[in-house]
Order: sequence, then structure tokens, then C-alpha cells
Amino acid sequence: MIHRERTVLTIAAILLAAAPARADDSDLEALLNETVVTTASKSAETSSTAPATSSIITAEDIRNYGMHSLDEAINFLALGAFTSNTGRAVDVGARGVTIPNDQGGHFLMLVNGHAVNEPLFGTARFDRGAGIPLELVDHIEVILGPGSVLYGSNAMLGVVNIVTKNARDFQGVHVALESEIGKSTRVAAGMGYEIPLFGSKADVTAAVDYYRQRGPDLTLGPQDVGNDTATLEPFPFSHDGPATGQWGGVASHSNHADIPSGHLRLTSHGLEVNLHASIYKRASPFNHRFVVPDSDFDDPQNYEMDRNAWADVKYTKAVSRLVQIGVRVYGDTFDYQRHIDASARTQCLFTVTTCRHSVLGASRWLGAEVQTSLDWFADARFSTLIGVDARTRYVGTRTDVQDYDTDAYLASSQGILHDVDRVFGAYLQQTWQPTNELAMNAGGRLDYDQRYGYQASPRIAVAVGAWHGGTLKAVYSEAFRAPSWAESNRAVDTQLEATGLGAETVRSVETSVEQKLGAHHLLFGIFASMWSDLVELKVLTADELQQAKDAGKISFTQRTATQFRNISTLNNVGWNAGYDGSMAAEKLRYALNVTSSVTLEDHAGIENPLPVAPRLFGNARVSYALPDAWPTVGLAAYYFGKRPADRAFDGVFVTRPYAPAQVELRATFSGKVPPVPHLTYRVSANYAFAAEGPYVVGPAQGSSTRVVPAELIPVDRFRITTGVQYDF
Amino acid sequence: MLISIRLPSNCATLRTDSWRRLWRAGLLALLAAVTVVRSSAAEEVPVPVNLQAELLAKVSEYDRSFPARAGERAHVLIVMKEGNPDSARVASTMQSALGRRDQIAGLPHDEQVASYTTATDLAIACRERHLAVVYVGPGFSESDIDAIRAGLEGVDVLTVAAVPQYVEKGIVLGFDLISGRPKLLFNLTQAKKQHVAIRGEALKLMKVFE
Repeated sequence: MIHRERTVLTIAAILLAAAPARADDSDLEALLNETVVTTASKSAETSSTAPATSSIITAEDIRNYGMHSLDEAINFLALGAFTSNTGRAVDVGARGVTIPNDQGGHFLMLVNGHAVNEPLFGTARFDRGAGIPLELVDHIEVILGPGSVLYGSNAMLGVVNIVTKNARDFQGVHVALESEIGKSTRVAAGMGYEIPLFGSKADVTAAVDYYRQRGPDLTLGPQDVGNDTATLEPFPFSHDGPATGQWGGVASHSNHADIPSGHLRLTSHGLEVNLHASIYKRASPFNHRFVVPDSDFDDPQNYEMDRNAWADVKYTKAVSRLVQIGVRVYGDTFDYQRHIDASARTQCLFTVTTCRHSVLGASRWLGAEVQTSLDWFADARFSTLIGVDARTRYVGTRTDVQDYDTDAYLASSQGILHDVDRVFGAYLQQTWQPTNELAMNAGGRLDYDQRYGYQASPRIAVAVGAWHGGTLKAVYSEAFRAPSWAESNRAVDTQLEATGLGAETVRSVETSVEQKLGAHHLLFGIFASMWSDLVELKVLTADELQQAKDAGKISFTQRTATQFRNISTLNNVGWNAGYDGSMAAEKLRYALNVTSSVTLEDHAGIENPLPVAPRLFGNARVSYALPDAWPTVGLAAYYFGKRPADRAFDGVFVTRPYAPAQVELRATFSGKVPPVPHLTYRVSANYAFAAEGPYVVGPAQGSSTRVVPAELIPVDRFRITTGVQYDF
Repeated sequence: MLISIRLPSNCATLRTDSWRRLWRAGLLALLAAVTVVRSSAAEEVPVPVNLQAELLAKVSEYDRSFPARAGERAHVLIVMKEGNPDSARVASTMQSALGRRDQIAGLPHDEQVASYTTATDLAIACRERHLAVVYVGPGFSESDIDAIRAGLEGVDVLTVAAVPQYVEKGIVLGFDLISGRPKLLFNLTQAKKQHVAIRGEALKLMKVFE
């Protein structure tokens, strides 16, 4: 470990020494390399004074390094954050912490400041399902550390804000076509114009996008599942094939996605309107632990689908030299469907041979936020931000099992939930910059949710410009995640409704040093976080099961049952370092990010490393813009250390499953097509060295199945993507 | 988008009614917001004013004409649009940010805030007060910027815009935010007319309008 740290610091020192010698030029370059973030304190400020560690992923980086989705951009380009693909959705982690199968629930995702995490399952899509055409993205702000102080629930690991382009940077009409050869196709069209509106001008940008993926074929198993306990015959994994008791084979019909999406943004003199709609239909040949893992293998009719639409209208007005008021109203609708066929009688309530399991869910919410900023001395040095955010929400869900052949319902719907509630948050933030070298930020937010009461989220941060180009920063912050409605209020045959479920909380302290010299920027930081009351699905003990039966909460025929509870805690400590710079008038750009941490999960008194989370994670990139008609060449790579799989510690496997260390490389060539004005191209090749990821797939999930080795999720190792874009 | 997921019937009724009310309220709020949009509303100043001040001071060092124009002391006029609170706020912040700097282009300096009247008055002020820099706050119309451009032709002064759109219309220097990083905008044609001569090493870092 010490050797690794020394190597990183030595490389950084060498690169800093190579910085331009002229102080004047380097100072101007340093100023132009300042990143401006708006997410950390809801106002534009340089990242060095922002009350958090942050990094920015630029549109140029997204293009030059061949990024095709948000999760790729985070893995290859961000500092400290990483994603892991479950095949159904991606989990997002940061600085050595990720909660397996949370589907982005511990990271708050914003699009132009609008929070998109939904309340029914608490998820946000950080993959292509985000539905934001990448051509429209200006930059992505990745803020590490608890961010509930201004945003409320879900911002435990951090906040990702996707900021779209304005018309100046997206002028005209743009059409793009991209294909991952043999696997996917994407078409996109967008436009950016200044249009007249109410006697003034409005800046309008919009884009639509359609992504279609078919494949690749995946070879899985075989996993020997044995006999169906209802028929005592081999377990079937197909409704029209023979029952073999074996799960697996070549999955050629069940790895697909269709994602149409669109986004529009209009701004005009303080008014900002964002409209978004997307559908995310996908399927993968494996489900996770709690999603009918014994379903039919490679069934083309198994799929999940999100439908999401939202509108956000914000108006900001300076009412005097000292006071600015902002009003925002927003409305979101999100619904979810999951349909899975199963052909074993044990999966079909012992009635028919093949049945269809469906989960339907919907959540909708409408909210309003009023925010006032007071610049007490009209010099941006002592400012107060006060805001209130209230929303009313609807959530509904149910689970059904139907006869595959007749569509007849085999039982009454389960897990029925429909509720309307109101949540409320109020926040206060004070910034004070007594000198050019000192910036302080302190604030707090109080949230109210009728399910668990009040939750406070404080933050205090100090940044000191200690020497020329150098900044020291220290931040203490807390955040929380409200349990999703599916966790707190849903019950099915095998799952009791939770009682007294509280919010998950995290406390974090971090300190960092940043050095800027010309176009070079170096950051080193250490951090520690303490997580409490993490919500997990607990298998009831025999006594608890009997009590539940006696109380009539569960059928007397049930042999096992689960319940969501605040169970575990996490302790996390580590360091991260980042370096980025450019040379040759920014033709040559490069960056390196490294994070190392130790995270231990205390689960009912038993301490283990946190599954899926890598102890060592990093990425590196370099690009060079060749002259004239030659392309820009971008090389990017990321590294995950060896990490325990999601079922490593609760799966009771003979050998604990660990995902091997992963290195993924990507080379990208992009530039103009010489004979055709306005036509550009991008070609990228991607290679992953390890063939497996950190999730156990298939019915062999551990203790509830026969003693077989764990099978880890396969990785699509080699991909080539080509694309063209025409700008009218 | 129409959502047609099947849910229990009582649930669907509740959902439809509440949803209809919610959207109606949202639509009303949208209409209200659009109705109150006026030119006095906050205009986009993408780069924080403190950072603008640092960039302005740094770029001044690259202006070959600056020492001759300023003489022994750099006089900076910050022009705001009368009756526009956002313009007043930005002007005041810029005055404070520049005031905290020891020097601009190696010279002592002073800053004054004034409301804009006419381009002719501005040109007269530039000549009579030997202004080195005129910073134009937000809130100005296209015709105002056109008038300033025309009025300052032949006047030896560096004009600087808070709002990036002003540069293409005729302000010499401005600041935009692209992919989260500040970008210098420079109107070369107008710079020549106002005797602003930025050295090549800085010019290569700017987006130049000709």
C-alpha cells in the first residue's frame, strides 16, 4: 500500500515539474482550468472552494474517450465513484462503499438540478436507462460525500448532476448514428436554437434518442438444481422443453434492451423549463437473489420496464441588489413492470405447470421548492441560502401470478400498496468568505417523512488557500436515505411488512489538499465514514417466524419468511488522489484517479468486508488531438481490485465467491470525415481482462439451494463501437 | 406520456384524481412563471463574478496597450442597467472582487459603479476619466450593446461583458462556462477598433470572434 502511494505521488511530482515555466501563462491557464460546480452548494462556485470533493466529466471527455453511457463515464473518468452492472441495473458506489443491488439508491441523481430518484424502490438509473442523450450533455458533476444538507434523501454517497448544453454550444440540428457491431444500434437527433419568446429570447435545446440492444449471446451454467419439490421430477426451466433439472445454456433471446428517450430544456431570463421522458425496457438471462431466480431460462418474454416522465419549471429573480428568490415546481411519474415466466409448480403456487409472475409499481410526485438567497453585503462574501421543499407523492404496487396459458389469476394480488403522503424539507446554508484565502460553508436541512419522523442533515466545510495555488479543505457532513416504500410498507406471502423502519444515516469527515499549477491539478484526500441502520432483508429466525404465524401475519404453511429491518453498520476509511493536466495548448490531456479504502460491514455482530466494493479502484486516461484532418486519439482505462461477490458472506458457498481484479481498456479515434463538411466520426474498441463480475447469477444463490459453486455474472469483454454525427 | 399500469380499482381512482390535481397545479405554476418573465429577471451570468474578476485582471496583463491607456492608475467603470436588481448585484460584486485585488496589470486601481445612460455618455466618460476598463453588467438589451459597440469605436478602452452573448454583439472580452470550465471570449474586430492588443499566448486560449 505504501509503495503504491509513493508511486502515485512520484508520478504526480514529475508531471507537476513538467508544467510550463512561465508563471503568468500558467496562472491564466490555471484560472481557465478551474472547474465551476453548482451542485455542492446550489450556486456556481469554483470546485476548490466548494464544500465537497468534486470532479467534472466534460462533453469533450465523453466524446474523446468513447463514453456511451453515464455508468461508463463514471468508471472511466470520475474521481472516487464507480459502478457495477448487475445485468438488470447498475449499482453506484463511491470511495469503497457500494450497497449491492441498490440500483443507485444511495447516490442522488440530478438532471439540471432535478432529483430523479423515485420513492417506491428508491432507485435511479445510472446506465443507458437514465435516458439522457449524451450529445446533449455539457458536463456531469460528481460530488462525493453526503449531500443531504441541500437535497434530502438518497445523497449518502454523493450527488451526480447531469448538466445539459445551452443553445450556444449545441447550435443547429444534429443527427447521430452509432452501433456496437452485432449488438446494438443508437440513433439520436437534437437541436439548439435561440427563439423569440414574449418579446425576449429563449434558449432552447432538445434531443431524442433511441437505443436498441440485442445480445450478445451469453453462455451460462449448467447449474444442477435437482428436482421440483412439488412433482419430485427434474426442475423445469422451460415451458416447452424437457425438464432437466439443469439451469443454463446459451442465452440468445433474453439479453436485450430498448430505450427511447427525449429531453428538452428552455431557458429565458431566469426561467428554466426541463421536460423529460424515457422508457427503459430490458432483459437479462439472470435475476438476482430475490427476483424469482428459478424462472425459465432464456425466455424471450421475461423483461423489466421503467417508464419515466417529468417536468421541472424554475424561475429565479433578483428582487433587489441583496435578495434573489427562486421558485421551482416539478412533477414526476415513474412506473415499473416486471414479467417473468416460471415452469415449476413450486413457483406456480402448486397449481399449473407454467405461470407468469408480474410486479407492477408506480410512483408519482409533485413538489414545489422556494429558495431565497441573501447576499448581505452585495459582494458574494457573506450569503445566506434558505429554502423549503415540499412534495406530495403517490406510490402503488402489486404482485400477481397468472396462468401462462390462460392469463387467469392463480391467487389474489399480493404486496398491494397504494398510498399518498407528503414529505417536507427545509434547509439553511451560510457561506462566509472573510478573505480571498478563506471560505467557510455551514448548513443544515431538516426533513420530515410521516413514516419515520424528522431527520437532520448538517454540514460544515472550510477551505483555506494556504499558499499559491494550494488549497486545504476539511468537510464534515451527514446524510440519510429514507427507506423506499417497497421496503417500509410492502408485504407478500414470504415477506412481513416492516415495523418501525427508520432512515439509513451516514456521517462523514474528510480532508484534502489541492495544488494547481498552470494546466496541472493535483488532489489528495483522506476520508472516513460511519454508516448506521442500513436496511436489509432479514430472514426470520424460527421464533420470529412462529410469532408471525401466531399473530396471523403470515400463513402457517410458510417455512421461511423475511422482513426489511435496520440491521447493519459500515465503517469506511481511505484515501483518494487525482491528477489532471494538459500540454501543447491542450492538445495533450491526461488524468489519473486512485481511491483506496477499507470498508467493513457489521451485520448482527459479524464483521466482513463489504461485498461488491473494491478496496482499490482507479482510472487513467490520455488523449491527443492530432493536427489537421487526423483524429483525436483517446485511451482510457479503469481498474477494480479483487472484490467479494454480493453473496460472498451470506450465500453459504463452499468457496466464497470473489470477482477477480478487472482492468478495462478503451481506445477511441474521433474526428472529421475529411471529404464531408460537418460530418464527424467516432470509433472505439473496448477490452475487459476479467470475464466475471461481482454478482452471483442463476438459481444457485446459496443456502436455499444445493451445494454448488457460485457462478458469477459474465462480462462482455470485447466491444467495438462506431458512430457518425452530422451537424447541420 | 400516458401511464396505463393496472392497479387496484380504488387505487386507480385515487391516482387519477390526485394526479389530475397535481398536474393542474403544475400547469398553473408554469403559466404564472412564464407570465412574470420580464427583462428585469435574472440573466444568465454563467461564470462566478469573483472568478470573472480574477480573469479580467489576469487578461489585462496580456493587453499591450493597457499601460499606455491606464497611465499610473487603472480606472475601472462598472456599468449597470438602471432598475435591474440583478445588474446592480453583479456590479456590486464585481466592484468588491476587484477592490480586493492589490493591482490590475501591475497598477494600482479604483472601481466605480454607474448606471448606463447612453453610449455617447459612456464614450465621453471613457475619454475624460481615462478609463482603462469598462465592465458591462447583465440586463442590457441587444440595442444597448449595439449602441455601446458603435459608441466606443475609436475609444481606447477594454470593454468586458458579464454575459457571454454580449461579446459577439460587440463587447471586447467576455466569459462563458463550457463543460464546467471558464472560457474567454474575445471580439477581435471590436478589439482593434478600441486599440486592445492581446498578446498571442493569451489569445490562443480564447474563443475569438472576428
